[in-house]
Amino acid sequence: MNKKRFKWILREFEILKSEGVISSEVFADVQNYYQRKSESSDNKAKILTVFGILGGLLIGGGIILLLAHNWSSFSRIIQVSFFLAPLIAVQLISGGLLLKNNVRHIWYETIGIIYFLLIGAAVAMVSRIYHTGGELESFFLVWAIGGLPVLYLLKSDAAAVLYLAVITAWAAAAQSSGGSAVLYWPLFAAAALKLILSIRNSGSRYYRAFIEFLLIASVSASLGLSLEKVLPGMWILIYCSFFVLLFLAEGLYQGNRSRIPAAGISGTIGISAMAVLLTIDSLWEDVGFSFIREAHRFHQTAAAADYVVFGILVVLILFVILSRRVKLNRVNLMFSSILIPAAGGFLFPAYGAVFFHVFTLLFGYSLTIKEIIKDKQRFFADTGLVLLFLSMLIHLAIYDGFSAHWIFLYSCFLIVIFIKKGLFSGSCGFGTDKAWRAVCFISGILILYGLSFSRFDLPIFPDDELLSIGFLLSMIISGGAAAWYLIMLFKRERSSAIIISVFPVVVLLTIFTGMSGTLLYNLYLFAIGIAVVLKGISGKSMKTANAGIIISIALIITRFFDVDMSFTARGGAFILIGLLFVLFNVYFSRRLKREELK
Amino acid sequence: MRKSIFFIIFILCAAAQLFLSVSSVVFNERVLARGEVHRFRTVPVDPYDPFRGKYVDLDFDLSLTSSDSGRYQDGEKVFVILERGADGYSDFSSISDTSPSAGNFIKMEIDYISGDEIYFNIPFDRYYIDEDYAEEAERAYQRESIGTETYIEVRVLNGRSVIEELFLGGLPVIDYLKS
Repeated sequence: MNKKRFKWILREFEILKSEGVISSEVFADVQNYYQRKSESSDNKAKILTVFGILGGLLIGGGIILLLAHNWSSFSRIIQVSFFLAPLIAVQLISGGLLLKNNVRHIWYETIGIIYFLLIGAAVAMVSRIYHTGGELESFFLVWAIGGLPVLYLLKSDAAAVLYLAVITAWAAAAQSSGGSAVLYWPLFAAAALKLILSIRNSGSRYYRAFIEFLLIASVSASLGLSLEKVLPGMWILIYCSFFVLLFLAEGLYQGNRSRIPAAGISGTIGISAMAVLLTIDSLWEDVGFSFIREAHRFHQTAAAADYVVFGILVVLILFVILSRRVKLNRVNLMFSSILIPAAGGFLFPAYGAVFFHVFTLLFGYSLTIKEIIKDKQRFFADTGLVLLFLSMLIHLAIYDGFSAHWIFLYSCFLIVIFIKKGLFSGSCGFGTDKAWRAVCFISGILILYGLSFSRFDLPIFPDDELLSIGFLLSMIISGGAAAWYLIMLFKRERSSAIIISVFPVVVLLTIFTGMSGTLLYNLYLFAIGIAVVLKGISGKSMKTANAGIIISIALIITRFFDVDMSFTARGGAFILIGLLFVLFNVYFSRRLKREELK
Repeated sequence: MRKSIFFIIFILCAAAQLFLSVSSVVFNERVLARGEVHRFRTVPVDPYDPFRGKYVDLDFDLSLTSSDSGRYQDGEKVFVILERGADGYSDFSSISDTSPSAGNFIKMEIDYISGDEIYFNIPFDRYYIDEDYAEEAERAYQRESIGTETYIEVRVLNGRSVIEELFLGGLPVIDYLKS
């Protein structure tokens, strides 16, 4: 039963209560009953949404993979029908959907995804049947423009998200082939308009945050891709000010308590990432005005756009600050101060990396000081800290651009934080703090993710003895942490607990028998992803549900691009699993409809 | 009323999408049916494209020496006139910035210019191949590239070019691999 009807019924009962026909206890009971019923149908609708999107992605992606097998032994006309038939089919289905009344919105999304992906498949197929040039650039552009109507006509947000991915990929391709990607901005506006319209209609704060994150991610990527690179190092200033702007702009929404601070989190992520990244010496080579590039392939006029973008960012930052709705408190100043080493480094590139080493250590340390970080902003500090921690670990592991004494300093830093956070902080002791739980969860899932690649079929240990001990230890620690987290998460659900406990058996089996565990690891990680989604939905934790969605979609995307498996095998598996999701949805939405009619 | 207008727009868009894909098929088929055949010597390898599958990357030893190369710029679109040599293989003979009224020519983008030598982004630089044969094709090429003939046949019509077939050791590539 939908929300409108619940509301209507409750209104009627309210009248009955005010007229004295029923007692207020009866009214409370009725209210409770409908609240529960509305929540349960809400949850079911969410499951339908997730499954519909996964199903669409799998079927559309599967068809692209199957077509990419290159059936060159068939005649050209048959090959043409291979891509035209599914395209026409999805167009007919879409037309049918548009003519029907009362279609659940999720069907638009599922079909929208498949439709959008099939447009890409058609463009790809024409170019491969006739062996026309290999430029990815024009492929992405034709795909994006050809698929644009799907966003608006099928009202599909999922298609809009795919469209964002395609235009971002186009900007990357255009940039790497020496072209200019300024066209990205109008293309982006077309999708942003659609998505902003739909978050205004939706009202769900999670959905709003999700869309905000996506838009910010696409802009962050394309900001760099559409730069003209005439003035080397301009990207440093532009990115640092962009992230500072995001962080400060969050303050404009301070009054809105229900808001998820998407801009603030993105700003935190960006600032922390830049803080670690810019400590790398090689990024500061050839930066500044003395290295302006004048070769023909650098578009001097288009480069004006870079200065305009930077100017706009500076004006916006000033605007946010001068609007007086954002207080320049210690936290805001701390995050914004990344502009100091950025500007300093830009003017004196020789010291850029040193400036950032100093900044990063100070920044990281101040994130742990309680007196600076008030409870309300704890969240940003934790996010920043987790990121700094993970990226420093990665840095230490790959040993890139760090001289020995910096490694030493960073290790000391990590140890200080460990002790400080772990042993001496009463309220957020080790293992209970959200930030540390996130570290455990992420590292555990990353290991499983690594195992899902076929080239890691058997556990490979580095030749170096010390390294391999470290490797083993980190596997055990983070694997254990992940298992612990998952067990806590699924404590009360026996079936999920069984699935999880099967995993060690699988690992042992593959190690001792030497059989390929790739398929099992993949299915296992996918099952965990889906289990985490369902858990999140039933436990009303959107954070958990989103983590599950990210795990499943990341797995689908990497298998899509995985070079080591054949196109036909992947395509077949994708379509099969996708059909299962869609069939489940057909059955489930019918049942839901019957329930609602009752 | 609003719904029916919406539906008409949908039909138009769907028709446009179909028209675009079918028309590019027809366009290429026309070149293949009516275009003139040219052979170019190639240097194939076996890379991978996540959306379009495996292909043989075609590399050519083709460039043009022109005394007025200074008139042209990197990235400029020009018309390159083809000339068939005595050995049956075609080569680039001259360059023009307007479309020639007769003869065989291809519209191409200038990749870069070095002195008098002009290099082009050749539009037929990929030959897509069944993934079951891709690896085999590469190995066969390694074997055959010395001494035997590897070339592609391209049909050329009104400035457009479409690959017809890749030949290894004088045979179409799939036939070669099957034998």
